[in-house]
Amino acid sequence: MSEQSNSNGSGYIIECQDVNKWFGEFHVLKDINMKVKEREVVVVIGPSGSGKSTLIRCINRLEEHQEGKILVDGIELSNDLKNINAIRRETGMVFQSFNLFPHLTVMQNITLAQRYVRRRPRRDAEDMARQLLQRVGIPEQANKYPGQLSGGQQQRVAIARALAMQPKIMLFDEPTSALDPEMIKEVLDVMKELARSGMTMLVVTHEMGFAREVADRVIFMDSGRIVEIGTPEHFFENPSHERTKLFLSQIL
Amino acid sequence: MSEVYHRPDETFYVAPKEPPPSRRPPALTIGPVGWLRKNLFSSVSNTLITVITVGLMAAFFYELVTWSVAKAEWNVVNNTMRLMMVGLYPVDQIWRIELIAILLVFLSGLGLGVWGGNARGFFIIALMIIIAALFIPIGAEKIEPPPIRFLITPTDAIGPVVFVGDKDDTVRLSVEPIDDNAIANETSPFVGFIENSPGSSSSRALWNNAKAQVVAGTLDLTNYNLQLTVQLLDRSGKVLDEQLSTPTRRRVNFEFKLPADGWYYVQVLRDETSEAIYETVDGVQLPIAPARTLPNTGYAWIRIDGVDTMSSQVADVEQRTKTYGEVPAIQCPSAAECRRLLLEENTRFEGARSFSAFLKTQLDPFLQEIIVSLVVGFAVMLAAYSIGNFAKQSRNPSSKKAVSRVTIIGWIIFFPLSWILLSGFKDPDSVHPFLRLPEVAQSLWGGLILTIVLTFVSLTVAFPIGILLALGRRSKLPIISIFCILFIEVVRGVPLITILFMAKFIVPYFAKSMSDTELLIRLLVGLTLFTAAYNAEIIRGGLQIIPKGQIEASQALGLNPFATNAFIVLPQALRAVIPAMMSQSVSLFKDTTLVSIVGLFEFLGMIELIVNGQQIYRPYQREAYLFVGVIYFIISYIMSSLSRRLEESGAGTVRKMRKA
Repeated sequence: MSEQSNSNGSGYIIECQDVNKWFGEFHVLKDINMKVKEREVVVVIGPSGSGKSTLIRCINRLEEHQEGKILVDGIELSNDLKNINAIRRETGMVFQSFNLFPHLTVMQNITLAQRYVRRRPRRDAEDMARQLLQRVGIPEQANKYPGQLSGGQQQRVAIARALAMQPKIMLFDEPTSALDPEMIKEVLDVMKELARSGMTMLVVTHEMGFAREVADRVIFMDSGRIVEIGTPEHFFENPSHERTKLFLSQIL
Repeated sequence: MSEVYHRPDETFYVAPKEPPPSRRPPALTIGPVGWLRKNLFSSVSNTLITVITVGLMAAFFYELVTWSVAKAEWNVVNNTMRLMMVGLYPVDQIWRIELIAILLVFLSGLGLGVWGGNARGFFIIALMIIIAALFIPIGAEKIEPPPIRFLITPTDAIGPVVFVGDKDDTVRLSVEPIDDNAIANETSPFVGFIENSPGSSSSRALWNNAKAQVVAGTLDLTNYNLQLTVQLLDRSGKVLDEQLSTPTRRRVNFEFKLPADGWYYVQVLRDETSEAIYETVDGVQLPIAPARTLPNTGYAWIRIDGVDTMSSQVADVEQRTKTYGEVPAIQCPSAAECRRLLLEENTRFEGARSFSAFLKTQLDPFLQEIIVSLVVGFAVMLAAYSIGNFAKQSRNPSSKKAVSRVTIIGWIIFFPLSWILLSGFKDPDSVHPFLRLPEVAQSLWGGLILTIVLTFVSLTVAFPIGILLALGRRSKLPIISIFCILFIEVVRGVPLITILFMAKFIVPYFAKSMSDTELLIRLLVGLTLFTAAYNAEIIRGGLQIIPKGQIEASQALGLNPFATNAFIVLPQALRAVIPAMMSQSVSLFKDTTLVSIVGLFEFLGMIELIVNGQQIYRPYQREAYLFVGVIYFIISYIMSSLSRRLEESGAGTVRKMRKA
């Protein structure tokens, strides 16, 4: 118990201890142990099916883990709805397929949760939304519907929507995988800006350039386990594990 | 040849700097001609299909329209309009229904004005006004009974014509001799023609027969030699007054003031062997009718004005029996004649009616009934539209906001208010004097207003229940989902009529406290549960098309399950199922006809009651059912048009989503 109360003081904002998860009989996450410090950018890479998306989805309880312990900002994830909601308030998430609400305008997409969850007055919420749209570079799209925007613009709106809740942690689940090559850069630029501003970020991506440039640490996963954790220099220049070497040789 | 755009013989090619200029498409492929060529006459088989289909449609509509104009007898609709529209709803309370109709038109006009509308919006409201107008005239003053005419001929006996009258009512009797062959080609003698006497043979049949004879040349109407006596009698058979019509003094008019309230009847006696009749004028005896030497020939109308004869309206008949007693049994001239029935082919108009005669005898009486309410309806709509449009175009945005808020609030209170207006208060003295509406028992509601109440009450109540059932069926809690599945499947597995029978017979048996509940309420509950089960399945279909990512995104933002459903899932799911929901609603609207089987007379049930239950209307089933069909179609069309408008309007419509 003492360990739990210390965890916040220890500077780790996400802690996974022996996390195991199964989909039916299939063992997707095997003994995951991992810690993320505050203001750290951690990139998770790995072949598809390696469990990296499942891992970050476990962190805000979109998936439920069966064994082990996940602590976010010192709060343990359990079935307690209050804890889950508290953690979700602290973490913003950006999805591969954007998942904007198509029936709401960009402005409504960004203000809905602020007003309903944070109980912010309409005017404040809209000010915040305009500020964030400015920050992601599309202030002029506020009154359009998501269907009228390009993929890159939609993903930037999705980032703005997550940021509007003023989270301590941002989770990115392959944010550029569904985008045309021409649009990947505009999203990555926003993410780099975000990383420089000191946001704690956990990013699942296949963008090796981004990982090399921005990440503080890189986690490599394969078949449900963590294979290697290291700094980008170490990871890309001089990987230790055979599996990592194989993976890198195939993609670089 | 400096610019060449296409050189297929070269392996390598670089396009010139400027693209070629745009040209117009070939003339035959665009515009109406292009549309026709592309859509109707693109190939031989397509042309054939077009011609055959258009031909069949034209033939059908030609038949329908010519029959409606030239042969149909639309007065059955006119005469029974009140029953069809409001059933037994008390006449002096019909203004409440009128008020509801006016409110409906006003709110629709306001909405159209403030939110903008296209031509179809106006068209829908115009249809609503027409339907609403049908409710209005029937509450007006009692329709003046048309004059009664019956035909008298040399060979056919005429039974007595029975009517009721109050003290000091004036009855006018007149004889109109038919002594001109040209009359046989006129149709006007049938205006206001009513058959009602227990023993009379059908005047219409006789007249058709006479016409045929005139046309064939076997009957000459100018050969008039009819002598008859017109008698007015009270119910005991005492002759109150009588007048003689002779070949020389044919036209007879006389008035009689009734001595007391009660039943009276008119009888005609043909005089075949009379003596000469004399009248004393200034002390000199003058013959006014010579002794008959010629055989009785010729035809005449006997016309009765100012009396109230038969009534098709149950309430009237009850009232009449209460006031005047039972209909007297009157001796028929002979038993055989009393047994004659009015056969359909006898009472229908024969031959083709001209269009002007159609306007005069069929359309005009109908229009006269509804013209005032149509004008009022359109005036109210225009006024409301102007207010809405004025607010919309006003420079002050708050006035638009205010008017649209008033419109929304108006719609929200419209439905409960209508219910209160319709049913009134059990104890009117307990409420504010302004609202002192006497109760109208639900057993008196009937006709189209009952159909509308059944449809809209069960639709509005079933909608939220359907949503809850759909969400419940997807619930992770097994008890809730099993309950919902069980409910939905049981209700969907049972015919609606069974549910209605259960509501009528079984519910009061199991739940004693329900046995006092009005039948209407019990049937409404049945219809509501039935609709809710179907709606639940439709909504579940809508829920399934919402991608899981939407729910995850909403959860990731910290929205709780209630907010996720209310703000994210349901708005999208419900919009996607508008077409299916509306077709379910239209189908419910038509299914309400089933309640007539368990004893509530809604629109169709009322028509059946009228045309099958009343002998005089039995010949006019075709007209009555056609009218019913048209009204059902118009209302269904209004409903589906509204749903299309709903689909196309509002934030993030389907269209906008598809544009992605």
